[in-house]
Amino acid sequence: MLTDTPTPQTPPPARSSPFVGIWLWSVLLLLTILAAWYGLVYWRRLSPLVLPLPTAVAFTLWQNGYDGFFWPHLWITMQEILLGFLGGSLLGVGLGSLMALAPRAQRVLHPYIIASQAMPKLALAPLFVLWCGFGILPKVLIAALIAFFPLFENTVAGLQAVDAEARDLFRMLGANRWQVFTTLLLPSAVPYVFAGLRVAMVLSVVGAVVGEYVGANKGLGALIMASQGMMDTTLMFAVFILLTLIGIMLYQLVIYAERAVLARRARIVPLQQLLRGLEKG
Amino acid sequence: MTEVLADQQRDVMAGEAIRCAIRVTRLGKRFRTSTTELWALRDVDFTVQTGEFIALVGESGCGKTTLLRLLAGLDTPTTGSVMLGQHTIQGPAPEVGLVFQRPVLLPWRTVLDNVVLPAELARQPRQEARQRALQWLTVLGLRDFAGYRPGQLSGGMQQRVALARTLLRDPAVLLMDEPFGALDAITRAQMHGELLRLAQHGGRTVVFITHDITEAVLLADRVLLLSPRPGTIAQTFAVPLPRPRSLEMRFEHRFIDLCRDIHQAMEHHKR
Repeated sequence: MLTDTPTPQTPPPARSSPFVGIWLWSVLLLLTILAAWYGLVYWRRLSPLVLPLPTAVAFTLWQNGYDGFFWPHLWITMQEILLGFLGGSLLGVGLGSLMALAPRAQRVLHPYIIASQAMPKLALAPLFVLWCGFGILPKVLIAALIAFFPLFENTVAGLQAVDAEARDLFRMLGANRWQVFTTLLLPSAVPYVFAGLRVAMVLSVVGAVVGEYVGANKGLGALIMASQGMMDTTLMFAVFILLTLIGIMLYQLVIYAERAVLARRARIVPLQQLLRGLEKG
Repeated sequence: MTEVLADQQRDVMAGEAIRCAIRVTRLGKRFRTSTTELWALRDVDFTVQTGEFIALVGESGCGKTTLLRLLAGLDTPTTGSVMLGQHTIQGPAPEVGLVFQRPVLLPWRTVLDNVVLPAELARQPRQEARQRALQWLTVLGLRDFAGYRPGQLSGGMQQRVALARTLLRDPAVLLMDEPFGALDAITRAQMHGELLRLAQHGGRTVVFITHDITEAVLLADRVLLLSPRPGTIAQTFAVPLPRPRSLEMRFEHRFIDLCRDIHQAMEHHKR
């Protein structure tokens, strides 16, 4: 930082061999676990009701995917997850911003926020079903409620983390409250908001599925309950794996969005492009 | 102290004839905690004339930054007042620009958009502001870096961006709080050169805070020595060096003599 030459923003040289090595180890670990699973079932002669063979689970997964049995359930659960995630996140960022903008309101509401966070939110699932019936609405509400808190908390933390000198700068420049919020506070909170989104995304999956446990006839959670009733443990495992894959995929989507936003913020705008913009006006 | 009084008397006698940019009268600032109270500043009196370059020196903890914050209107005085021209400072004024110790840039914005910020907040026409911003960046040798992000620049370059941002509003009064304190010696000398060049035309009034006596003497027309606890102006030194100043003047006898005088006064007023 002491030299006056610009540091070019090139990524570090790709260290391909150790990366491939680690990847290989991960795959080996997976294969070992699958083999141990298989061995356990095979040698201990476990009933498929207790623990099905991994091959049987894979077959069920493939077959039900192939003949389309999974898709309507998957579609319902995805809707619940995504609507809950979106609703909870928006509400979390919105209320978090409000808190940070009105410090007095924050002090008044603080004990209630702590209380509501301590409360096990999934325990409310039966109540939501009671209020909103058996459709997707109660599941969306549970997913939203559980996604709300990480965003709320991170938004408040992000908005409060802005340093005092930056606030002084905006005061010197005569910025009003709204300008401070949109130009300084909100952009500085973006990394915090993304950290919250990552957690909220995973929690939304939990919320939607638990909501379905309580009362639903469609959705992957409902399918797990149904497989329990039918004593089809293999199907249950297949749905677990499906839910895990959904979770991983959605989590990765948030990570990609975060990377795209952060990369955009670090991008060097070519001088020619800036000058062209100036000539147009 | 006598020099300060003489200074004031002259101003009073001349009345409005002398255009006074800043007039600080019996300024005091008290900080209170539940158990103690502390006068960070007490009975501070001085004036700065339009176009004058003033350096405030003192060891750390003598109230320099507190004083500058009062001048900037970021804090309210416990006693006394700060007059800017004909008006008492009650809050941040658009004709006052402040350069902080750290650059305080918005890391997600390009250098150009950081410099444009004051115009944007004042809702000035965008294109015209961007053109002016680019001009200031050109003056400060940063034109080629207009599209970079602050994190991609060196410390000295970041502080130059902060300076360009302050200059965009063309402030009549420039307040600087140890702006080069975090820079290495070579970059610092470079910045002194830039500042001398900028300050010497345009009739800008500058109040510059530093704990570096050499820097104060090199840049300023007058050096005010602040003594600690409570912070007050202990002594005023006129700098007899002609303008335009150059970095070579640091090696002249009268420069070194003055630095020694200020240093000895500083030791004397130490408690």
